[in-house]
Amino acid sequence: MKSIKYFYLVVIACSLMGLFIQLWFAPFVMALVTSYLFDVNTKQAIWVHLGIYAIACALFCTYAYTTGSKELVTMIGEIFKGISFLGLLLLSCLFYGVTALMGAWVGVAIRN
Amino acid sequence: MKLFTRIIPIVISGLWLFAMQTQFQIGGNDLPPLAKFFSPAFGFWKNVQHPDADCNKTISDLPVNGNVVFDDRMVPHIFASSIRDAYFIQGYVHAMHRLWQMDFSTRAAEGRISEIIGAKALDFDRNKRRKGLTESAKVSVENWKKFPEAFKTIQAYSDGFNAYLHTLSPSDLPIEYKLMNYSPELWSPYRSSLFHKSMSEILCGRESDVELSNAKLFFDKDFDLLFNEMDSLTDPVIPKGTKWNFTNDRTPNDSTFLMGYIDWIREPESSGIGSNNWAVSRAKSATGNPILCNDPHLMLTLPSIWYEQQIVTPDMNVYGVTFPGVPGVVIGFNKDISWGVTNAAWDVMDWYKIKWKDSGRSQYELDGKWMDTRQRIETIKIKGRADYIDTVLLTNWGPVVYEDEKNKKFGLAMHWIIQDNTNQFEIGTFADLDKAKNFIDYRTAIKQFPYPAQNFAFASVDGDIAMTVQGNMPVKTNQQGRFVMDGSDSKNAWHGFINNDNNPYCHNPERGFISSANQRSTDLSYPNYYNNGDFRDYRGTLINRLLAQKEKWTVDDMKALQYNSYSLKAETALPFMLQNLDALSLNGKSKEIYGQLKNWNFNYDSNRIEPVYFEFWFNTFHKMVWDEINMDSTKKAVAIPSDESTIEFMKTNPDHPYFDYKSTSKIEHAHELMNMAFDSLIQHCQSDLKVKDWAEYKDAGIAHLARIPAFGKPHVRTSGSKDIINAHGKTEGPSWRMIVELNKSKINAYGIYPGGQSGNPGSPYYMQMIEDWSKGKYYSLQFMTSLPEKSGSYQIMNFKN
Repeated sequence: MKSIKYFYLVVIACSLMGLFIQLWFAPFVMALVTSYLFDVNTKQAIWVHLGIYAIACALFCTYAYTTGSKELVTMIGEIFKGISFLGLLLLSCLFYGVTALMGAWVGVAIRN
Repeated sequence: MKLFTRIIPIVISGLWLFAMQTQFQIGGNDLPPLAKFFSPAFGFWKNVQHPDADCNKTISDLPVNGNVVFDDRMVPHIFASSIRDAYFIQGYVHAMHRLWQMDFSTRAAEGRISEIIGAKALDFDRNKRRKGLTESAKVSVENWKKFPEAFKTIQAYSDGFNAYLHTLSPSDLPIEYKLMNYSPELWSPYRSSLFHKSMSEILCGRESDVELSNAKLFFDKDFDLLFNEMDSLTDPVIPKGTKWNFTNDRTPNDSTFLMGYIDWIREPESSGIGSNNWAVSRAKSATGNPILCNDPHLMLTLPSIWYEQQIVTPDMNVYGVTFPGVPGVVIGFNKDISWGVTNAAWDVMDWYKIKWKDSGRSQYELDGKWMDTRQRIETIKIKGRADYIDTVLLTNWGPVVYEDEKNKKFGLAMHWIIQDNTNQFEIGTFADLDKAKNFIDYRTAIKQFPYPAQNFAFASVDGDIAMTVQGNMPVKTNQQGRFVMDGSDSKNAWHGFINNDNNPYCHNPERGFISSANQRSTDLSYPNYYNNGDFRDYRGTLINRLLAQKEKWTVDDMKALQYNSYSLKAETALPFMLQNLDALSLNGKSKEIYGQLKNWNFNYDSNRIEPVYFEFWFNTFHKMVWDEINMDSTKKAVAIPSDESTIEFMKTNPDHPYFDYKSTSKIEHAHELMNMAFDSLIQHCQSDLKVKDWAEYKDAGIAHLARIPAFGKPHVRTSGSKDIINAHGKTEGPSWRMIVELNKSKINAYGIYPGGQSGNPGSPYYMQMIEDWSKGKYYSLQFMTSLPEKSGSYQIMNFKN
């Protein structure tokens, strides 16, 4: 039980660190290591990583949007066939979360 | 089984990672690598969070001392203890706001866009490389090194750029790098030189040799009438009747023109790029202070080609616009003088028909001998594909630029001014103008400027005004270079350059003003022959008329003059066209339009409909007059007489056979054609010409430099048009408007350009000035004389060694 608590804490910490590490595959590596070290099952590892990384990404992007340039978000949306801030947010969370999910899946697979 | 459950996640994850860092194509467009681009740590969200670099900071690890004050429009005012430090900081600030633009535009000049966007840029790259911009840039840099002190300042500028670049992590890069998935490169004097070559291509890479060669054959005895080198409308830059105190630099030989059509497809008409500048003397100024104005017309892009800046050192205090990529201020003023430029539009690019020995083209004939063709191999890197190896054939004249048989210049050799080493320090021109104090300094500074030839307008607080047409002008025999020439005869070569002291200029002319607007430099009494690269008449003639008419000018008058949308073309053509309409037969819509045009004041105002009617009517008429050329089944690239010539011709020769419209069995004259064109206007008004006003019809816009639509500004509503003083066409126009009143105690200066200081889309300073610019508004330029106190309206960047 304690281990699960730490697992959550480490995943949250890694998801936040990943927002500042300038390697796009950092979530993959961190999730792989975390899932390898903690004794969690595949289902738990991948869903927790997907959820927490996606939430961290959503918080970061929403903060960037509310404090930064809304015009640029609109312009980027236009490049991607006119999608809105929410669309861009969703895609960002998806890519960030799924990259972490893949790392978690591989981490559990290697451990097992 | 266990191995299998391990392998599946590894394989799927591997595929995911591969997909996330790969650039896919959708609808012919490259997508950025998705995981990189959407990464919150790395991708576009970083640009959303910080569209511009922080300006309020101290930078202590660079070898310079100085301060940069950013005002409320993000204009940097650089205060430095030496010129070297000032240029270092200028390079730093240029990179801070325009990094991607500088990098991209010089890569374009170098013919390296295929590396970034793939094979679709291959023709573009080949064209740049075959014209030899890179070779010329390298030669110039070697030449600059002969001026070691001045070269240090250019090196300092590059060092400043690179110092900024080194502060950036990949996540800090401008958004365009992330979209196109590449990285910036270090700056060097070579890249500054490339920028100069690229501007030369825009400004002195225009000519109509093929079109005029064909027109000379097509129009035969009428050619001189329709393509007069100076018509009755022309009011040259240097006033008519100016006396020349030298004979000429001509050689006695005649050149031999190519005879025989060159059968290739016509290209679109030239763009309407041009510029205006003028200055009035004390006598014509309401305050007694000279006033200088300049508005260069270029292709409008975002980021803008210009960047506003002030540079203050113990020896210099200059304000104006700069080219990101080149040190110094290009158009501007200091406390003593002001200057502005327009393009002189001389033809300094000539084409030669080569007689090859055989289809292998290893030898060509020159003066009865076979000369060996040299080769230059160009390796063009293409993203996602193998390199393209291009072999450029080189003759004594220059390179054979076009190898595509569909091109009108296929197989011709080019001689262009940038191929000739000048031994001049062109970039030093602006460095010296920036600190010039009087007329003598101005003349000395501009003599270093070889090309693209410019009309340098000048005014000083001492009360001097002057105009110099400056550039290296090839010595040509009469008509030489106007047509494609015989490349087997060395008599057709340029015979050196005209002595710079003999370049046309005027100083404090009696009329009390100087002006230029891309028209001919002089009247025909000028002893040396030069020909038209892209001369324009309407703007220059109207500016001179208006400047002469009014006794005293104020700054507000000048603002109105720069935004003047009066059409001299409409004034000369429309009354005659209306007289020729069968007015009695008009009814309904046609009668209404006739009435509107009759009462029109010839102004191309954004909210008027009349300019739409006139433009459509005149252009239809023009096309019908020259239908012989347009309908030619061989589609020869024949020059079409200009609007000026056509108007003059319809007034003086209304019954000439050219007015016969070939599609009908009847014989038409100018009168019938005008009525037919008017009928066409009425028909279109009832179908596809349903616009509210001129601005909607023109539908002007400002495109992003890399043509990314989301980063451009469509539908910019403005008055004006090409060939009007306010020369805002669909895609080009006044790229910087400046008015400077040279008051000894305080310089009053105003300016604006259609863009903003920041090159970063999303920055509040990216397109900040467009709205005001489109309405003809100006900003008062803050010419600082000392470092201001820190306050809320300024941001200060401090450089401490």
